[in-house]
Amino acid sequence: MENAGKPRLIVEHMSKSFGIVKAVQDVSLEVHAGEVRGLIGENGSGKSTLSAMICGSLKPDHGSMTFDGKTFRPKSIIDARSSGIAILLQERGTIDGMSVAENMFIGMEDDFKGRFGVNKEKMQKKAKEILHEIGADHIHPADLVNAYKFEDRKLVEVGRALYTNPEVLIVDETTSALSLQGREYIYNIIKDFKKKNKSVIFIGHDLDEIVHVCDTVTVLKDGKYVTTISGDDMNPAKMRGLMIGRENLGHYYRTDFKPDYDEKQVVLKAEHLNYKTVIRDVSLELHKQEILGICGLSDSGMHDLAKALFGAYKLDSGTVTIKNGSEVITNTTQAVRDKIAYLPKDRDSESLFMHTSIKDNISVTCFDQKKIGPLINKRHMKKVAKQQAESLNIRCSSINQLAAELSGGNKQKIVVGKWMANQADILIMDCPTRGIDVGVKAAIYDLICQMKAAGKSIIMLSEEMAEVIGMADRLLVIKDGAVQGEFLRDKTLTEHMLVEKII
Amino acid sequence: MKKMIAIILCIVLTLTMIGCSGGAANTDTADANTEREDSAKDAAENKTEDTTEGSSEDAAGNTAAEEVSTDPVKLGVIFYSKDDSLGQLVYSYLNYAAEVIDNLEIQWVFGSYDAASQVADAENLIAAGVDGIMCLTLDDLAMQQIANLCNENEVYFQVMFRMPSEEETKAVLDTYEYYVGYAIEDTENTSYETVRIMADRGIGKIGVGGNTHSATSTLRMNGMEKGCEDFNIDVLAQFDLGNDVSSIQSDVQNILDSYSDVEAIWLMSGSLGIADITVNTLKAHQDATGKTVGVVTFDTFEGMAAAFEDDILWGAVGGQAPLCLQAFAALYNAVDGHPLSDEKVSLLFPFLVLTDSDDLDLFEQYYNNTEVQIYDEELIKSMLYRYNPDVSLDLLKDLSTSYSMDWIKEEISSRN
Amino acid sequence: MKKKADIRQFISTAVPYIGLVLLIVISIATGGKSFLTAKNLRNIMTQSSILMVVSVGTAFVMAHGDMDFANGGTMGLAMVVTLALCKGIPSWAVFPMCLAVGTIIGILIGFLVTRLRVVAFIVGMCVMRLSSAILYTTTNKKTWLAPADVIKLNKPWFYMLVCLGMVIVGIIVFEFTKIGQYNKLIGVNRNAASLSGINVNKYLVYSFAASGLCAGVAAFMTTVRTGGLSSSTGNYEVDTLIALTIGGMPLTGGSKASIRAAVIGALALTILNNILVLWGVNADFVNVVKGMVFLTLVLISSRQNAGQVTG
Repeated sequence: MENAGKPRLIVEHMSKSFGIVKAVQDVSLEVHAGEVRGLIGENGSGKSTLSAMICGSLKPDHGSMTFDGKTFRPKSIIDARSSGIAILLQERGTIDGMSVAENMFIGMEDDFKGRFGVNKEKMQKKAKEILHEIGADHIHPADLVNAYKFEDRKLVEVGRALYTNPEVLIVDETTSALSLQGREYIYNIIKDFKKKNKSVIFIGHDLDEIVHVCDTVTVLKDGKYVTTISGDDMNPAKMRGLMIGRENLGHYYRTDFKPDYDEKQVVLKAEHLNYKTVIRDVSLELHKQEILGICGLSDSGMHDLAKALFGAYKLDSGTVTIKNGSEVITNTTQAVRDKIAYLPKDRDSESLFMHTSIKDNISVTCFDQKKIGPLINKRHMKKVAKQQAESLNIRCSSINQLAAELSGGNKQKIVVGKWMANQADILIMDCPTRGIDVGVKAAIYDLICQMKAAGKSIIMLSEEMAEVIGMADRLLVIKDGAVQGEFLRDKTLTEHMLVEKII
Repeated sequence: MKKMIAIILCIVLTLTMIGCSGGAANTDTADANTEREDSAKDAAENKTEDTTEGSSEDAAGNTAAEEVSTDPVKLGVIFYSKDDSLGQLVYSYLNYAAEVIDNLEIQWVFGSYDAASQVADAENLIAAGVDGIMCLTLDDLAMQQIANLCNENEVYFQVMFRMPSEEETKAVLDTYEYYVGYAIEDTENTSYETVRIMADRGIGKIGVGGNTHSATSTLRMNGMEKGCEDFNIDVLAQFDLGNDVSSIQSDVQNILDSYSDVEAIWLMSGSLGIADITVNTLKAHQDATGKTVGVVTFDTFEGMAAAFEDDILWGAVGGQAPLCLQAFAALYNAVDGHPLSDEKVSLLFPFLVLTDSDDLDLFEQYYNNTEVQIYDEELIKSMLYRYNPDVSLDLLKDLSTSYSMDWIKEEISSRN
Repeated sequence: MKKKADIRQFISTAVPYIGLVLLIVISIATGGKSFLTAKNLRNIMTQSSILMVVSVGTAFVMAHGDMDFANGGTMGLAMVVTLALCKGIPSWAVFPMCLAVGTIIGILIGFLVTRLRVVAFIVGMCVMRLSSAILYTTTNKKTWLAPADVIKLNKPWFYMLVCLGMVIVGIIVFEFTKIGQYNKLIGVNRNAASLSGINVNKYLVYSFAASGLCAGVAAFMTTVRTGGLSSSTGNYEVDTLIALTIGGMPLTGGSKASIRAAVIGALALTILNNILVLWGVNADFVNVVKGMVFLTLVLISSRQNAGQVTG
């Protein structure tokens, strides 16, 4: 490992346990000035725990840190931030009901003391400056943060992290939630850091992205340090191997390159859907055994389309029908009864019951199965949950564990399990691999193939074009709420061809 | 594991319930038997007391009685609150009685605002072993249920500040051996007297604020109507006293505007700010036109001093708290085995009527003051057979008839 | 691995029981003879029964995270309507009548909340005001007595039987039907519940109906206990809230919601009131003692760790 600068941040023998789960065990690493360090590993490998300890939100059980030659022992995120280490989080970190500027300077209101409490104008002016610096001029500091969508809120967080002029920036899986455009903002900031000889710790799942962004990569596995690689060693295949612990992964996406579905059998049909301004005259057909990929930017309206197909919206016009038009989907209850499944993009708030057991999360669709007279069959529900947890290989202490305690990939497995438990025939999967590491990602792709083989039909919406190209039989591109183009599965299909339609 | 515990707890709970209801019959009669024996014994003891006292000289009085009976008497009092002015005084007066009477213990229960809770309070008091219960019952139903409960458990029951509002209730209560009686304010007569205040000032035309929504308000209105008839006073207009204080202001204003010859306003109730807002309205009228329209009202209120000064307030009514001591005397004597009467006792206690600033000063000094005991030790003891074998219902009635502002003044000054 | 989550769950469930048992042990130790008499235990059962029945209903509403301030008002209205009509109906029909009126009011509240999107506790306040106004105007002139056949039921076994029945039915409906389970899930995450195919509005209405039904039953019990209609009927809004909180019901609803909370809470509250009188605590200290006991019970029972829905 040869690096330009001297070590700025030294982490030595850090350990952290949650009860008997050893999340991080004896991990040491050095980050140099001007270095962008990647941190990868499967879900539950300890990446986020390690970064949480560095940024002060968790206290290590053992180990020490040195930052610029001084012992570094942050008491809180705010403490770490004032010492020069800031973090961008994976999930939403803004507070609804507060303005953009207030969110940006939370915990630092003292800097804007006016004669009467906080000087809002001063605050908003500063916020505007910072937003301009990161190129997010479309965000207005005085607006409520809830008025903005996920990506913009993320940018507000970026602004917050940059305000203190940090020397070390930790980016914790932030980009997986963002669209291409949003990612560009982050990449630019990272480049800027490098230029100023500051350091970045970049945590991510997308290995191509890691190669693109990072100088060196540290691999963690099961809470332990594996190795740190740089230069030519940093290729996706090698990293994947290191993360999982074996070299040969076999296939990742589908291996066949021919559309393969029953063209005659339409299982779901949408006709002229209109919803406010986000869905405009969308019609589509889903066939039996088909994987229909839908691709677009995150504000293209495709996420709303997914909800609309599931009956979650009161449409302005148009119908979603199944069984050759004999049944119209108007609400979610009916959709579920008709064996349609919906896996939302925002798992935590739209599909999971967080402080509730895995068992309840999975069995939520099974209340009507094997009833005992008018009563629900708890034993059966427990059995189903157990079955799903085992067959999906959900990593948990027991099915009584709380969903909130699991990693992103395992949470997604719960959501899949919930719909499998209902024996869904049509699955609407919105960004099914968002925030999930390669190991689980491969498992999810595998699962999708299995479901296809089992005769199920799948609508897969994603902002990652590679995975849609890799998986779908047929592909629709959405822009501004309308279908812009259709592609059939083909070996020659490239991201470039889609991007033209998307932007 | 968890299910097991839940099941075990369920079984325990069910068993307790069955145990309680099943075993009830036996234990109940056993309880009743022992209680009956106890009371029989008490009665016997009391008899012997009587005879000994009877044979000894009447003059032996207090000391003789104190030597004889040392059985503690435990009374329960159910009252809505001890924080408003009436509650404070009742709490102070009865606690004083418990202090000066050597064998008396009082157990308070506050905070019940519905009939079912009052019944529960009575049940708990009986379980705590009280010999008698005094209660400001919230309605006839509570009165009946508690009376019934007390009768079954052979605990004496005295109603205070309330009376049965219906004949049926009264008839039912009268059949209960352990129901002692009720003590209530002399509302109708007081109401009549308030009209006399206006008549004495030569008033002939008044406006009336009131309604007949409850038994008490009906009594107040009746007294007023009778007074108006006897003193030849015309009621020009009448308005309801609802919950909304601001509407009362406009009602009063309307009367002032529509009847320029109105000379006074009579209020059935002055609490909850009603009197204050009426006085304010009349004061504004006085300031604007120079014409004084007076107020006579039930209840006492904050701004009385200023209102008397401006001669807007002509009469206010209050001061009924010592009633609780008369109710107590009736109950205590009954528990003690010497009821005041063989019949059910009905005590009427007068209000104090304040007509000027001097009255108000005395009122604030002696009545509205928990430091002052209007009925002192001697007076309280004189109402109890235990200390005064000559006590009679008439003595209590005389005491209450003489209750007035002047009497209080005399009584308290005579103590020093 | 497996044991730990289970043990933690077990402890969080057991804590309210421990509070209750502690209270009972203290009561026995200090109240001694007068607390443990059959008569006093019967008193406690009788007194807690009405509160318990109301709380069982309220638990359904609180499971999805709404405050139920309508229970007392519903009781009052159910009694007015039933007693107004009781001359015209046979006495056996008084009970079903109370039940029906309560349920109908509950359903109406449910519709107001789900269709017109009025906040539940505002609706509750309105029902409370409406009820007290109607009670006031109907009972001021004349006391309404219940039919003699109804009053005859005023025996401890009646309260225990009805209460036991309602608790058992409550547990079954809460734990073993979709009504209770779905409401808990709605309490955890309304959005996710809806996107998991749960007809949220329908099950919200069910929960208000359940609360109304229980209030109806409680109205009947109150009628039996007081012998008629009194203007002060149904001051249960705050008591149920306190009882359920003591019993371990989270105010936000969700997976820790249970009927158990109603049973434990109602018992604990009643025992506390009872033992305070038995102790003969100086009235000046009663509120202090009550406050401290509540605080302790709430502290040990409402800690926010986790739970299961179908447990």
